[in-house]
Amino acid sequence: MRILLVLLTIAITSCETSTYLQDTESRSRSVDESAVPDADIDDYIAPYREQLAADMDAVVAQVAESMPKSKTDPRLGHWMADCIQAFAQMNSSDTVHFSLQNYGGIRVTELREGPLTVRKLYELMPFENSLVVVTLDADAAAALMEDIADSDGWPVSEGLYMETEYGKPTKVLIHGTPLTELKTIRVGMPDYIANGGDGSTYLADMPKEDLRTLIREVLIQSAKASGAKNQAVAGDPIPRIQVL
Amino acid sequence: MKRREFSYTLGMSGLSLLAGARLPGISRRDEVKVTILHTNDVHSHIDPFPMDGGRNQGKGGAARRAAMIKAIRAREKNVLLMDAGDILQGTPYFNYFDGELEFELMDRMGYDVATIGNHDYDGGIDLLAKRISESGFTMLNANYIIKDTVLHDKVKPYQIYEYDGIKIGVTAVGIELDGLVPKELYRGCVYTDPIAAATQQALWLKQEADCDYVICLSHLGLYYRGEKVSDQVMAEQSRGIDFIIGGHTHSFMRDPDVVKNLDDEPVLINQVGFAGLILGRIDLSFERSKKSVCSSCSTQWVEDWSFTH
Repeated sequence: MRILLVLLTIAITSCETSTYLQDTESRSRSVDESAVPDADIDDYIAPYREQLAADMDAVVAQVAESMPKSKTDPRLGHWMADCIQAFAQMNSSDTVHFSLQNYGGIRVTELREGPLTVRKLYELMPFENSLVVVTLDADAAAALMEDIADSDGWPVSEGLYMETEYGKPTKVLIHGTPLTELKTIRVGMPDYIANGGDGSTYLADMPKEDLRTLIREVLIQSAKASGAKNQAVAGDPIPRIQVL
Repeated sequence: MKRREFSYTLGMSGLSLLAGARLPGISRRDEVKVTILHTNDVHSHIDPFPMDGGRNQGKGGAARRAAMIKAIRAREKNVLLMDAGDILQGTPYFNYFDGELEFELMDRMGYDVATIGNHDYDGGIDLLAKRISESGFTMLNANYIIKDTVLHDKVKPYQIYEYDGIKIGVTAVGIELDGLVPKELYRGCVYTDPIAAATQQALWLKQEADCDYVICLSHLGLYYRGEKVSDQVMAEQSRGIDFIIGGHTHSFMRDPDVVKNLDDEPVLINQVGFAGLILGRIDLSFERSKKSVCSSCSTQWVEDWSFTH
């Protein structure tokens, strides 16, 4: 049996226009000194810029050594969490066992060595998050520790020491006391986390004390206090979450 | 999959992607070029980064971006300027002026269209609605149900742009807000599956609205470990979308990615870091034939049984 194969083109001819994507070319460019700023846009920004400069360019302290946002170098997170803890303990009605700052809430890649401006602290913490002290029952406390361990360590203040293995907490000490011996703990944190943000839904229904101060304001006040005492801003380099 | 992401040091040289073969049999060619310019996650960065020794020192800045856009417009006839969200939050300009300057500058630069990033809710949904109404560019989103919110008449699911007869359809999708944005800031806005929403819009734009090309602005993020939906996942599991302009993950991509969709068609994905450090640009060249050509063609093998019967 022979089968003859014939190539046949069925075509409906017309005067319609056909369109083909003929080429796609990527030509992205860095926005840098090679472009001369547009004068009209610059003039429009100027009054806003000047209004900000008065508040933002104030140097409040010196940063001793550059501190990166890093999961392996805890200094920047420790500085932030310790500022939050100091303010929380001074202003809360009761004991605050420790404080934390969620890692995702740190919004700069580093605090550079040298003069620290208010502007940089706005960039570090741009959010209008306020400081809340949450009272956690044993279950919520355990869940929080799991979260802290699972994320390779959210920045925590002095007062908490944890050892983790494979992302799970194996040892949790609150000022040297095993967590399991405490019925409740009180923890200072941004209201974003306290209200269930970043997966911490188990915190949403826990009792809260709102200290009615923005986290950013806490950091600015703390840096100013260091500056006034001629102390450089620095974070504790010793890990409080030990990943084993 | 290992991602290709790193910082830009110099502008890139032109890179040709998806170059189609010239079609034979067309006597008169008519080429239409459309220049797509895009930013994402500008995050209230109005001024260049300060000269403090940091990685990005001296880079970025709205006035420079405006100058670059102006220069491109002077050379190119068809320019579509877009932003993939997170216009707001990140410098004191936002804390002090509530986004007024960010939106005004985008207007002055001639942005055509943008989508909503999670941080665009940071001042609350009412403030976002106010800023959208004051601005001249179009705000798109197709996967948030907003009918019961103040955004209902301010955000559209798609927009069509026509350049010399070439129709570019644009739609947009946003990230799940639960757990990312405090509830009271986006109240009433309900997240739905972005891939289904984008595919529905894209197919409608192509099949019913006769679009030649469909762009999806996305604030989903480029790529995640695990199951979380991303631009990469959307590209693979969608239909009808030609180009995803992304944001959220602040990814610096040297070249756009090309991923095959459900119909085995190429989907381009691009994202340009954050803070207005890079002006994304993709030039599309369309070719039209005005001669009589087959507008509905199919080539078939036909079996001829004449010798056996």
